[in-house]
This record gives sequence, C-alpha cells and structure tokens, in this order.
Amino acid sequence: MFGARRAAENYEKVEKMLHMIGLEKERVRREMVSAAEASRFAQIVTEMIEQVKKLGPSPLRKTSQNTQKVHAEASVA
Amino acid sequence: MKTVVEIINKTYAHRCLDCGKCTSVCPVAKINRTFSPRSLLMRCVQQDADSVIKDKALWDCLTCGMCELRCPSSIKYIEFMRDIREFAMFEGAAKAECSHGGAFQALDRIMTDSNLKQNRLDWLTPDLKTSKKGDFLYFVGCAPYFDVFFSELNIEAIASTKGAIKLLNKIGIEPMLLSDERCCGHDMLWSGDFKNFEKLAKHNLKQIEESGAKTVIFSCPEGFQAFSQSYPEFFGTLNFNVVHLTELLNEKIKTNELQFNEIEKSVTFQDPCRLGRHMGKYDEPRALIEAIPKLELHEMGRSRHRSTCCGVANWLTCGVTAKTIQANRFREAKLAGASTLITACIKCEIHYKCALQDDKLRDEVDLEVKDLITLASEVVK
Repeated sequence: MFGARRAAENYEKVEKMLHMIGLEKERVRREMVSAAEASRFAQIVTEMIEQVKKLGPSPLRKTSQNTQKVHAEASVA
Repeated sequence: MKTVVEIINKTYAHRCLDCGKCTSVCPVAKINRTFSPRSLLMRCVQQDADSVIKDKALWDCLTCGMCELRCPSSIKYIEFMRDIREFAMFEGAAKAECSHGGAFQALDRIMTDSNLKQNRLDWLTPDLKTSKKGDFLYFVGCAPYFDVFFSELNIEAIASTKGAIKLLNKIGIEPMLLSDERCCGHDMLWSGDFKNFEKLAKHNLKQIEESGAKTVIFSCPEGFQAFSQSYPEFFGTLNFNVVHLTELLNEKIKTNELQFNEIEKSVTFQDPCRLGRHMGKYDEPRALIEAIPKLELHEMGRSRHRSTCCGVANWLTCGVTAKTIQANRFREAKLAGASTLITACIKCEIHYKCALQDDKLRDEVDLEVKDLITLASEVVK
C-alpha cells in the first residue's frame, strides 16, 4: 500500500502545481487498478486518450520542443 | 558566452597565490575532503579546463561567497564558478542535476514560455490590501509553488508572503502584484543555464515596466540579489528601485511608526548567503528582530559575514554533505543558547526543516525553525 499512498500524496501536489502554472487539471488523472482488472484498465486508458485529444496539444509544447532542441545541439557541439 | 581565458581574465583567477585559504574556509570542503575550490580554479588557469567542466565537483560549490571573502588576491570566485558552469553546459560536458528529480528546473523552464497564464495569486485574501496602480510593487517569488511542493515540511511560504503584505499595509503601502510573474531566474543563472535566465528576466522586466512601478520590494533574498546585481550586470541599469522588505520596515521602526507586541523567545539568526555576503545586508534583519520586545537575539559563533550557508544552493547539492552542514549549524545554534532558529530565506527554511525530519537530530538539538517575516507579521501591532 505504501506506493499507492505515496502516489496519492504526489498526485495532490501535481494537480495543485499544474493549476498554478496554468494547465488544465484534466491532463492528469489518478486511478487505482488491480492486476485482475484488465478491462477496467483498458477503459480508463481509452477515456484518458479521448480526454487529452479533446483538450488538444499542450500550450507548452513549443517550449519543451525548444528545450529538447537546445539539449540536442549542446550534445552535438 | 565567454571563453575560459576571458573568464580567467575577468575574475582575476590568474592572481591565485595557491595559499589555499579558499578551501580551508569552504563549508563544503570541511565535510567533503575531496572538494577543493582552489583546485578547480588552478586547473583552469593551468589550461586543464577540460577536466574541470567534466568534474562533478564543479556542481558541489554552494556559491556562498566565503572563499571570495577570504581570498587575499580578491579573486571573484563565485562569478568564476557561475561562468565556468555556463561554459560546461554550453560544451555539453555536464548538466546540472536537481536534487528533486528536475522538478524545479522544469518549472523554471516552463515559466520561460510567453503563452503561460498562471493562477499564482489564489492565496490572496481580502484582508490583504493590494492596488492595481501605484509606485510600489511586491515581487512574490516562487513561494506559492514551494508551499505546495514542500507541504509535508509545514513550511511558512504562503504565511510569509501574506505576512509581508500585512506588514507593508501597516506602514501604509498597498503594493501591486504581478498576476503572471515569472521566476527571477536566479537558479537558472547559477546552474549555468544563461539562455533561460535571460528569457525569464526579460519577461519580468517587461511586466514591471508595464506596471509602471518605481520601487520593487522583495522578501526573498535570491530575487533581491538577482534584481540588484545580476539584472543590471546583463541588462543595464534598471529604471526602478530594488529594496528588501526589511529596509523599508527599518525606516518605520526608527520613527516608531511600526511597533510590535512582545514575545518571549530566545532566538538566533541564520544569515542567508544572498542577503548577507552577496548583498551586505546584515543589520537590517537584525534590527527587525531587535524591534520586537522581549525577543532575545543570541548570535551564533559564526554569524554575519562569517555565517555558514544552509548547505544547498540552486536545488543542486542535497546529500550527505548538505545534511552534515545543517546538523552542525543546528548544534551551533543550540550552543548559542537559542530555542528558535530564525531564517530570512525561504530556501534556508526548507532545508533546515527537512534536516529536522531526522528524529535523532530533532531530539538532540530541540530547535524550532521560523521565518523572520512570518514571526514579525504575527506580533505586529
């Protein structure tokens, strides 16, 4: 149970920080799924994909691409 | 970007006499015997910069400024470290590793995005008076984020921010706040990422210019240092004044316009390296402590310019060395006869409170860690 509890604590922080930085809280989701619940797991993942598609690309996508580019250039140099 | 030779010339690294004073006063070298600021500097001077930029020790430096203070040749040590780190990042030889899994560096880099719409003023309550237009602007800093991230440590980040506005209201200032303020970039600059520091700084300078503020007030020592020293260094003279909250409060304490209720406590004060050695503000926070009746200030053996850093800088160096530095500092505070350690920097508070998570240390030193601004706002008349 320790890992799940820790994830729950971290999730609260992530949600609050995402709100503060100005991103939609629908972009993250926390669910407890047992290893025996295969169909439920598949359903949750499908729902999540649909939800993220609805929200569209993150407004920060450009920044992260630029950061990756900077890192790539730096490692080449 | 400066070359190694330019960095050496600019920081007078070639003047090194090899006396080793820097290493003997370095708080990191006292614990970690393999770390030597002198060795890092001398290897660069002796044309071995390649080994320095690949050396992990480069990121262990706290940039606290103790070495610079004691150097008989007045070598600008911390500027040297800062610029060599930038060079190392540019060469791709090393990357600053955040002790919190990269969370804060990611946060700083996200904040460089101009499309960002933050909700960073949710903590603002109606009893705190702020204005839309005025001469004064209060720069909040990253406190709202720290408050969430370190919630299990019970830190007083939001309490301190609210306290700062309460104190400003008491002295007749209703400050403006920036709804989309960015990180000051201090951590980016000191961990070698100049590009993102520049972006963050330009966002902040533009927003402050649009607000029309004539004076910007800081309670965070790092923001205060970045705006007072780093911004003018890279972007020219600023067209507004930069003051620390304790400076403004002291003016009113002198004229008896700001008074405090008494509180019986014996305290000691931890000088933040940015406020102390970098900015030279030793008396201002102490005057605020002394203005509170019955609050006894016991100085630690090493205080003011001789004060030890809290052990971690720019979220880079948390580990055994940092924890030992903190434990030793607590013992020093205990020896001074204090029951509370007062800090003026949110990061000192986080690091000390984290060290007190160790039950054995907590039982041994039996100290409380308290933020200066929070304490003052709780007892203000």
